[in-house]
Amino acid sequence: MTTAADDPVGTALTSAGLAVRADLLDAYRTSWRNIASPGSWWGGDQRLALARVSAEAYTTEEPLPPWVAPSTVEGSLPDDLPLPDVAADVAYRVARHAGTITERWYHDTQDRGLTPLQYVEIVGVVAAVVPVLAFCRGIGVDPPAWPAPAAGEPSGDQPELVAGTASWVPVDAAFAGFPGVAQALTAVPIAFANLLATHGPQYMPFDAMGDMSWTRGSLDRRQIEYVAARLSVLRECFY
Amino acid sequence: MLRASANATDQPAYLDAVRQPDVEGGVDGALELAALVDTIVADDPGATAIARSRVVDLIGPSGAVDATAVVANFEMMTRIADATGCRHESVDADVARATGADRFDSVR
Repeated sequence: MTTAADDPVGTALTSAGLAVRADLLDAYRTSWRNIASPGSWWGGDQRLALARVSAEAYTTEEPLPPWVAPSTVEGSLPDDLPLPDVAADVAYRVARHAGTITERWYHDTQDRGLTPLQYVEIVGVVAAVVPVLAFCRGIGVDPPAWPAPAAGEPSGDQPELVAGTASWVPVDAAFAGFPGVAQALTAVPIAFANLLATHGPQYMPFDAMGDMSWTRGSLDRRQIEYVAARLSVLRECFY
Repeated sequence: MLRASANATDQPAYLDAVRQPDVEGGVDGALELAALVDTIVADDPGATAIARSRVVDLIGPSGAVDATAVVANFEMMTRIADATGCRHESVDADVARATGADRFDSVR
């Protein structure tokens, strides 16, 4: 018998009154494994800590303002975080106030000790955890229990890098010609892998993007884009 | 993409409907879909339950799941874009006015 500990995502999402597609369940299982696995620059315990900070930032009813770093406010972060303060501060702001982030702030995080690739990996963790929480909100279930962190050291893996053609961050040279947001996480393989695993089940396959009449059979393409546009406006995202 | 999908299918999807879901000639189900998006973002479980129920009634259970998944996807993509600096340097004036992008905090 499968327990919540074996399959926290499946246990949470199948408790809804709505049937969740198998591909979506698998995508979110991938995300939950992803946030607890060692990456290129952070260990599994560190990535899980980043995920928990992101979740707190995303869900709290009394968020700190964008210009206040949680590490400077007593009680805003757990005492035993296995992370430098700046890493937790980045996770919090990306999860809660992403629309306020500036290039100057990004460079400031490097002055505080983060490397650009550590920063990209943190963005990838936030990008893995927030959609699961948002989906749970939408279908009316509690979020999955946190996974246990996987053992292992950060791999240090990185592709051949070039400056992003449409972003502040370095990107994998092989993807430099891709649209900005598609290339943004490519410098950190574990972050890009989660994007590839979830984008299709959540929205549509990349190779269907140009088909303006694509549908999964429920929403038509205009309805899909309407939801996307409404969310993007609420988040004040210029992309 | 909303405008492109409307043009491709030769059906209207006025950008004004992004801010004003009740605008005439907008997307089918815009009011219900907008309410679902808005209540998820607002983290209002009671209102989300009502909004979800209305989408189920109008489009079906799979439509509610798929709309919620699109919300989740763009909660991801907006964060990636904003945190890595993937922003359009400029926005078409009509699009900016219709969507309210000309009043985003980051414009000021």
